[in-house]
Amino acid sequence: MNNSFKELEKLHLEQFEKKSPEIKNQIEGEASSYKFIGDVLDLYFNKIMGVFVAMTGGDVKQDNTKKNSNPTD
Amino acid sequence: MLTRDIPSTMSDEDVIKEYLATQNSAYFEILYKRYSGKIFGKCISLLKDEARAADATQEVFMKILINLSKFSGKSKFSTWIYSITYNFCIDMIRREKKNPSLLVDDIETKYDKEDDVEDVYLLEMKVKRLKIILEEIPVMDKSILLMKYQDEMSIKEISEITKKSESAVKMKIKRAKQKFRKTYKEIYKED
Repeated sequence: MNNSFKELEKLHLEQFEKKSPEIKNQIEGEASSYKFIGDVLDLYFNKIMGVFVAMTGGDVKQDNTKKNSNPTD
Repeated sequence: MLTRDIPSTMSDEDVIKEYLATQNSAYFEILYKRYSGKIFGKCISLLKDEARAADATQEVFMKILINLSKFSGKSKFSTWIYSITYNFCIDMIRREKKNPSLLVDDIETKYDKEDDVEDVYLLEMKVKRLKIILEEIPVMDKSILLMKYQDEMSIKEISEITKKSESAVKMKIKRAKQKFRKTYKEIYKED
Protein backbone atom coordinates (compact mmCIF):
# COMPACT_ATOMS: atom_id res chain seq x y z
CA MET A 1 0.00 0.00 0.00
CA ASN A 2 1.21 3.51 -0.84
CA ASN A 3 1.50 6.10 1.85
CA SER A 4 0.77 9.55 0.46
CA PHE A 5 1.69 11.10 3.84
CA LYS A 6 5.21 9.68 3.57
CA GLU A 7 5.45 10.97 -0.01
CA LEU A 8 4.43 14.42 1.22
CA GLU A 9 7.12 14.19 3.90
CA LYS A 10 9.70 13.39 1.19
CA LEU A 11 8.66 16.51 -0.75
CA HIS A 12 9.09 18.61 2.38
CA LEU A 13 12.54 17.09 3.00
CA GLU A 14 13.58 18.08 -0.53
CA GLN A 15 12.24 21.58 0.08
CA PHE A 16 14.23 21.73 3.32
CA GLU A 17 17.58 20.85 1.68
CA LYS A 18 18.04 24.42 0.44
CA LYS A 19 17.19 25.98 3.79
CA SER A 20 19.08 23.51 5.97
CA PRO A 21 22.60 25.06 6.13
CA GLU A 22 21.23 28.53 6.92
CA ILE A 23 19.00 27.22 9.73
CA LYS A 24 21.85 25.11 11.13
CA ASN A 25 24.16 28.15 11.28
CA GLN A 26 21.50 30.17 13.06
CA ILE A 27 20.93 27.42 15.63
CA GLU A 28 24.67 27.05 16.22
CA GLY A 29 25.02 30.83 16.64
CA GLU A 30 22.16 30.97 19.10
CA ALA A 31 23.46 27.94 21.00
CA SER A 32 26.91 29.58 21.26
CA SER A 33 25.32 32.73 22.70
CA TYR A 34 23.46 30.67 25.31
CA LYS A 35 26.67 28.81 26.17
CA PHE A 36 28.58 32.10 26.51
CA ILE A 37 25.92 33.56 28.83
CA GLY A 38 25.95 30.33 30.83
CA ASP A 39 29.75 30.42 31.15
CA VAL A 40 29.72 34.06 32.25
CA LEU A 41 27.04 33.38 34.85
CA ASP A 42 28.92 30.32 36.01
CA LEU A 43 32.11 32.36 36.40
CA TYR A 44 30.69 35.43 38.09
CA PHE A 45 27.59 34.14 39.87
CA ASN A 46 29.39 33.51 43.19
CA LYS A 47 31.02 36.93 43.10
CA ILE A 48 27.73 38.68 42.30
CA MET A 49 26.03 36.79 45.14
CA GLY A 50 28.90 37.73 47.46
CA VAL A 51 28.49 41.42 46.62
CA PHE A 52 24.74 41.12 47.12
CA VAL A 53 25.15 39.41 50.50
CA ALA A 54 27.72 42.04 51.59
CA MET A 55 25.39 44.86 50.50
CA THR A 56 22.55 43.43 52.55
CA GLY A 57 24.78 43.21 55.62
CA GLY A 58 25.70 39.52 55.62
CA ASP A 59 29.11 37.89 56.05
CA VAL A 60 30.88 36.85 52.91
CA LYS A 61 32.85 33.62 53.38
CA GLN A 62 36.42 33.80 52.13
CA ASP A 63 37.33 31.30 49.47
CA ASN A 64 40.28 29.53 51.17
CA THR A 65 41.06 27.30 48.22
CA LYS A 66 41.92 30.28 46.07
CA LYS A 67 44.04 31.84 48.81
CA ASN A 68 46.07 28.69 49.27
CA SER A 69 46.45 28.04 45.56
CA ASN A 70 49.22 30.64 45.29
CA PRO A 71 52.38 29.11 46.85
CA THR A 72 54.08 32.51 47.25
CA ASP A 73 51.42 33.68 49.77
CA MET B 1 35.63 14.58 17.17
CA LEU B 2 34.00 14.99 13.75
CA THR B 3 30.53 13.90 12.71
CA ARG B 4 32.00 11.27 10.34
CA ASP B 5 33.80 9.64 13.30
CA ILE B 6 30.49 8.88 15.01
CA PRO B 7 28.91 5.60 13.90
CA SER B 8 25.65 6.17 12.05
CA THR B 9 24.11 3.30 14.01
CA MET B 10 24.56 5.13 17.32
CA SER B 11 21.17 5.37 19.03
CA ASP B 12 19.54 8.73 19.68
CA GLU B 13 19.81 8.13 23.42
CA ASP B 14 23.57 7.55 23.19
CA VAL B 15 24.05 10.61 20.99
CA ILE B 16 22.16 12.69 23.58
CA LYS B 17 24.22 11.29 26.46
CA GLU B 18 27.46 12.10 24.64
CA TYR B 19 26.27 15.56 23.65
CA LEU B 20 25.30 16.40 27.23
CA ALA B 21 28.59 15.07 28.57
CA THR B 22 30.90 16.67 26.02
CA GLN B 23 28.89 19.51 24.40
CA ASN B 24 30.68 18.46 21.21
CA SER B 25 28.92 19.98 18.20
CA ALA B 26 29.45 16.76 16.21
CA TYR B 27 26.70 15.14 18.29
CA PHE B 28 24.44 18.11 17.70
CA GLU B 29 25.03 17.68 13.97
CA ILE B 30 23.90 14.06 14.15
CA LEU B 31 20.62 15.06 15.81
CA TYR B 32 20.21 17.91 13.34
CA LYS B 33 20.73 15.60 10.35
CA ARG B 34 18.29 13.03 11.70
CA TYR B 35 15.44 15.31 12.67
CA SER B 36 15.65 18.85 11.25
CA GLY B 37 14.01 17.94 7.92
CA LYS B 38 11.17 16.11 9.61
CA ILE B 39 10.61 19.00 12.02
CA PHE B 40 10.54 21.40 9.06
CA GLY B 41 8.05 19.15 7.27
CA LYS B 42 5.67 19.24 10.21
CA CYS B 43 6.10 22.98 10.62
CA ILE B 44 5.35 23.68 6.97
CA SER B 45 2.34 21.34 7.02
CA LEU B 46 0.91 23.15 10.03
CA LEU B 47 2.00 26.74 9.33
CA LYS B 48 1.64 26.63 5.52
CA ASP B 49 4.47 29.09 4.92
CA GLU B 50 8.11 28.28 4.14
CA ALA B 51 9.67 31.27 5.92
CA ARG B 52 7.60 30.78 9.06
CA ALA B 53 8.33 27.05 8.98
CA ALA B 54 12.08 27.80 8.80
CA ASP B 55 11.84 30.16 11.80
CA ALA B 56 9.76 27.62 13.71
CA THR B 57 12.27 24.85 12.93
CA GLN B 58 15.03 26.98 14.40
CA GLU B 59 13.04 27.77 17.53
CA VAL B 60 11.91 24.18 18.00
CA PHE B 61 15.51 22.96 17.70
CA MET B 62 16.64 25.50 20.29
CA LYS B 63 13.89 24.29 22.63
CA ILE B 64 15.09 20.73 22.08
CA LEU B 65 18.72 21.64 22.85
CA ILE B 66 17.80 23.64 25.96
CA ASN B 67 15.55 20.87 27.29
CA LEU B 68 17.67 17.93 26.18
CA SER B 69 18.69 17.07 29.75
CA LYS B 70 14.98 16.77 30.63
CA PHE B 71 14.45 13.97 28.10
CA SER B 72 13.82 11.00 30.37
CA GLY B 73 13.84 8.24 27.77
CA LYS B 74 10.36 7.06 28.78
CA SER B 75 9.14 7.67 25.25
CA LYS B 76 11.02 7.44 21.95
CA PHE B 77 13.18 10.50 21.25
CA SER B 78 11.31 11.06 17.98
CA THR B 79 7.97 11.12 19.85
CA TRP B 80 9.41 13.63 22.32
CA ILE B 81 10.65 16.03 19.65
CA TYR B 82 7.52 15.72 17.52
CA SER B 83 5.52 16.53 20.64
CA ILE B 84 7.53 19.75 21.07
CA THR B 85 7.08 20.54 17.36
CA TYR B 86 3.32 20.02 17.25
CA ASN B 87 2.72 21.93 20.47
CA PHE B 88 4.97 24.78 19.35
CA CYS B 89 3.19 25.19 16.00
CA ILE B 90 -0.30 24.91 17.52
CA ASP B 91 0.63 27.55 20.14
CA MET B 92 2.00 29.78 17.39
CA ILE B 93 -1.27 29.55 15.43
CA ARG B 94 -3.28 30.04 18.63
CA ARG B 95 -1.31 33.22 19.45
CA GLU B 96 -1.92 34.65 16.00
CA LYS B 97 -5.61 33.68 16.00
CA LYS B 98 -5.84 34.66 12.36
CA ASN B 99 -8.47 32.04 11.72
CA PRO B 100 -9.98 30.63 14.92
CA SER B 101 -12.10 28.16 12.96
CA LEU B 102 -8.93 26.33 11.96
CA LEU B 103 -8.30 25.55 15.60
CA VAL B 104 -11.67 23.94 16.26
CA ASP B 105 -10.83 21.02 18.48
CA ASP B 106 -14.05 19.12 18.68
CA ILE B 107 -15.99 18.72 15.51
CA GLU B 108 -19.73 18.50 15.84
CA THR B 109 -21.03 15.04 16.63
CA LYS B 110 -22.85 14.85 13.30
CA TYR B 111 -19.69 13.34 11.79
CA ASP B 112 -19.94 10.38 14.17
CA LYS B 113 -23.02 9.13 12.36
CA GLU B 114 -21.15 8.95 9.08
CA ASP B 115 -19.35 5.79 7.93
CA ASP B 116 -15.79 5.21 8.99
CA VAL B 117 -13.23 6.32 6.44
CA GLU B 118 -10.85 3.54 5.39
CA ASP B 119 -7.12 4.19 5.81
CA VAL B 120 -6.57 3.35 2.16
CA TYR B 121 -8.71 6.37 1.20
CA LEU B 122 -6.08 8.69 2.67
CA LEU B 123 -2.97 6.64 2.00
CA GLU B 124 -3.60 6.13 -1.72
CA MET B 125 -4.49 9.75 -2.40
CA LYS B 126 -2.43 11.82 -4.85
CA VAL B 127 0.11 13.88 -2.90
CA LYS B 128 -0.94 17.13 -4.53
CA ARG B 129 -4.53 16.60 -3.43
CA LEU B 130 -3.50 15.43 0.03
CA LYS B 131 -1.54 18.66 0.47
CA ILE B 132 -4.51 20.79 -0.60
CA ILE B 133 -6.95 19.01 1.72
CA LEU B 134 -4.55 19.20 4.67
CA GLU B 135 -4.30 22.95 4.13
CA GLU B 136 -8.07 23.26 4.41
CA ILE B 137 -8.88 21.21 7.50
CA PRO B 138 -8.53 22.48 11.11
CA VAL B 139 -5.01 22.31 12.49
CA MET B 140 -5.98 19.89 15.26
CA ASP B 141 -7.33 17.40 12.72
CA LYS B 142 -4.29 17.88 10.52
CA SER B 143 -1.93 17.26 13.45
CA ILE B 144 -3.62 14.07 14.48
CA LEU B 145 -3.62 12.71 10.92
CA LEU B 146 0.08 13.54 10.53
CA MET B 147 0.88 11.79 13.82
CA LYS B 148 -1.00 8.68 12.76
CA TYR B 149 -0.11 8.36 9.07
CA GLN B 150 3.16 10.25 8.64
CA ASP B 151 4.86 9.61 11.98
CA GLU B 152 3.14 6.22 12.34
CA MET B 153 2.64 6.81 16.05
CA SER B 154 0.63 4.41 18.16
CA ILE B 155 -2.61 5.50 19.82
CA LYS B 156 -0.73 5.47 23.14
CA GLU B 157 1.96 7.83 21.80
CA ILE B 158 -0.64 10.19 20.34
CA SER B 159 -2.51 10.19 23.64
CA GLU B 160 0.72 11.17 25.45
CA ILE B 161 1.34 14.08 23.08
CA THR B 162 -2.22 15.36 23.02
CA LYS B 163 -2.76 14.61 26.74
CA LYS B 164 -6.05 12.88 25.95
CA SER B 165 -7.26 9.39 26.75
CA GLU B 166 -6.69 6.64 24.20
CA SER B 167 -10.42 6.34 23.50
CA ALA B 168 -10.60 10.11 22.94
CA VAL B 169 -7.70 9.86 20.49
CA LYS B 170 -9.45 7.08 18.56
CA MET B 171 -12.54 9.24 18.33
CA LYS B 172 -10.48 12.24 17.19
CA ILE B 173 -8.82 10.21 14.45
CA LYS B 174 -12.20 8.98 13.26
CA ARG B 175 -13.59 12.52 13.18
CA ALA B 176 -10.48 13.93 11.50
CA LYS B 177 -10.80 11.33 8.73
CA GLN B 178 -14.48 12.18 8.28
CA LYS B 179 -13.63 15.87 8.13
CA PHE B 180 -10.91 15.09 5.61
CA ARG B 181 -13.35 13.19 3.36
CA LYS B 182 -15.99 15.91 3.64
CA THR B 183 -13.46 18.58 2.65
CA TYR B 184 -12.26 16.41 -0.24
CA LYS B 185 -15.79 16.03 -1.55
CA GLU B 186 -16.36 19.78 -1.32
CA ILE B 187 -13.21 20.61 -3.26
CA TYR B 188 -13.29 17.79 -5.82
CA LYS B 189 -17.00 17.68 -6.54
CA GLU B 190 -16.42 16.38 -10.06
CA ASP B 191 -14.89 13.08 -8.80
